[in-house]
Amino acid sequence: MLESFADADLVILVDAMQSGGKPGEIRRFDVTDEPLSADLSSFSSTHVFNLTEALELGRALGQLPGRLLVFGVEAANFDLGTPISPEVESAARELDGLIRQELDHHKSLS
Amino acid sequence: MADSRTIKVDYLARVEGEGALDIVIDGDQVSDVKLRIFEPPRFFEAFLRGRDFREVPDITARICGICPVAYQMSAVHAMESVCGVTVGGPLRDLRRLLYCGEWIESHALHVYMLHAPDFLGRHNVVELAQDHPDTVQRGLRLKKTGNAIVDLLGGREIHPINVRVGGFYHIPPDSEFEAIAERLRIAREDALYTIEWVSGFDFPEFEQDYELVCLSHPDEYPFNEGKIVSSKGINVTAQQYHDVFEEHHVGHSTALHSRVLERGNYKVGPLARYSLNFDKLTPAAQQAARDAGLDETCSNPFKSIIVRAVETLYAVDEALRILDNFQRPDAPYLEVEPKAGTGLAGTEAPRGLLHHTYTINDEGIIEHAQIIPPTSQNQATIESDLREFIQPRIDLPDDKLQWQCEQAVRNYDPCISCSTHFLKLRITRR
Repeated sequence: MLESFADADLVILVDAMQSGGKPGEIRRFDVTDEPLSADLSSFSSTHVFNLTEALELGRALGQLPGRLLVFGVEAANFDLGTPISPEVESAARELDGLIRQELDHHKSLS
Repeated sequence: MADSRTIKVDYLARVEGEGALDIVIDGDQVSDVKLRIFEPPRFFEAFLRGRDFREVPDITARICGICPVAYQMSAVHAMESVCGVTVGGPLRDLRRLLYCGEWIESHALHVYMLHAPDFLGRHNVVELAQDHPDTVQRGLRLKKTGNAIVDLLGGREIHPINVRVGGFYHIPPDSEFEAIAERLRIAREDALYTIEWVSGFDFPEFEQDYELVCLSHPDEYPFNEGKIVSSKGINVTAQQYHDVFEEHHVGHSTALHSRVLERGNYKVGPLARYSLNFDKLTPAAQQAARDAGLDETCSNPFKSIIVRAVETLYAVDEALRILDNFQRPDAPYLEVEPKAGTGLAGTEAPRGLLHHTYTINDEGIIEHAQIIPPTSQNQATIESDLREFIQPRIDLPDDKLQWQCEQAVRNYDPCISCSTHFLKLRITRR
């Protein structure tokens, strides 16, 4: 993933999130200058090397893009084999608009 | 009784899988050490029953994301031995090349991301990268070269899909092999740097009288073939494995323990391979090992990080040798017809000997499967290492003792997921 950041001035990552919020809730994180999460203690094995750790490794190696945003969508259900919930599907459509806004805003700056 | 102290640590980081470590200290004596593996059983051996023998490399590749090639190789060799087929020539070389890729990626991962932080007083690779960005970049580049080989021959980096009983489904075009050789020439420099870097770490004095067990082949450093030998006289074929070793259940682990019959625990992995096959390393790897301060044998598990680095150089050189002599196979695979019987094979996973046993019927349906991964074979030795290691250091403060115990476990690059995801450590003093 870090390799794909090379030469990009804006990267937007989208991921499912489990933060205790309402299913379908969308949160925006600007991680250009600070970690996604302050808690790095979960670094337990390569089996659970998570997004925060991957991004902080990239930061330490000087491989992050000029701007880095993460959109998290609160998931309804993480059970294996379950289909997307109506709340998350509707959030995905809303996110499409939010990402376009970010891109338009970014273009207006450059 | 001396003061009673309890140390409870909820996380032993940087291991592959879920388990815990309980250490009980009574006064000034270590009274109990248990590596508790509570990762639930994964039932792969049961899934395999009733499946076609050709499916086995794809199913067993799913056991591990780090060393799927080892599972595939042990599986196909076992099936080929039942069916009376020997894969030689260029196909055999390509299997060796694929294994080189896995060793490079797995060893680079463990050396840089999991083990080196221990020696440098860092909690994880992110902290390490903050102080040593160029070094970590090298490690990642090395790992990616290993991944690229697995991607090329395996069809993808993780859980490859191009291995079949009898060979490969598809042999990539020649130009792609040439591109890999270019990357390996850079990887060679990274591998030499790695050996020099890790040889400068501080190592505790801790030599153990292990029974070291690995494959041994008359002409080559072992990957796929060879007899099973030990530092205490075992010399048997893979077919005779169950005559010499047995698995047994202990209450505190969902992974079976292994022992040499009527003797006890043993050790598989890089130290065993290195110590019993030093003469099969390339002259360059031998020299690099000597320059790093290693003798021809090594019985200090903390120095396994140097041995992994030496094996990484070996794997890079062996991959380059295979590519320099590359001949395109006439066909990507040999036809293999099922034959009723039992096949056994062992290959050298990065973490050590991985033994598979399968019984199939004359239609090629699997009736019995038994998979013995390296970490399960090493469990009892990890426990004995800890007992020996802690006793003379019993007066260390708990936080320091805990750090060193975790390091002692990581000497084994334990893959707990394979052997049956975090490791919790608890020290009780009473």
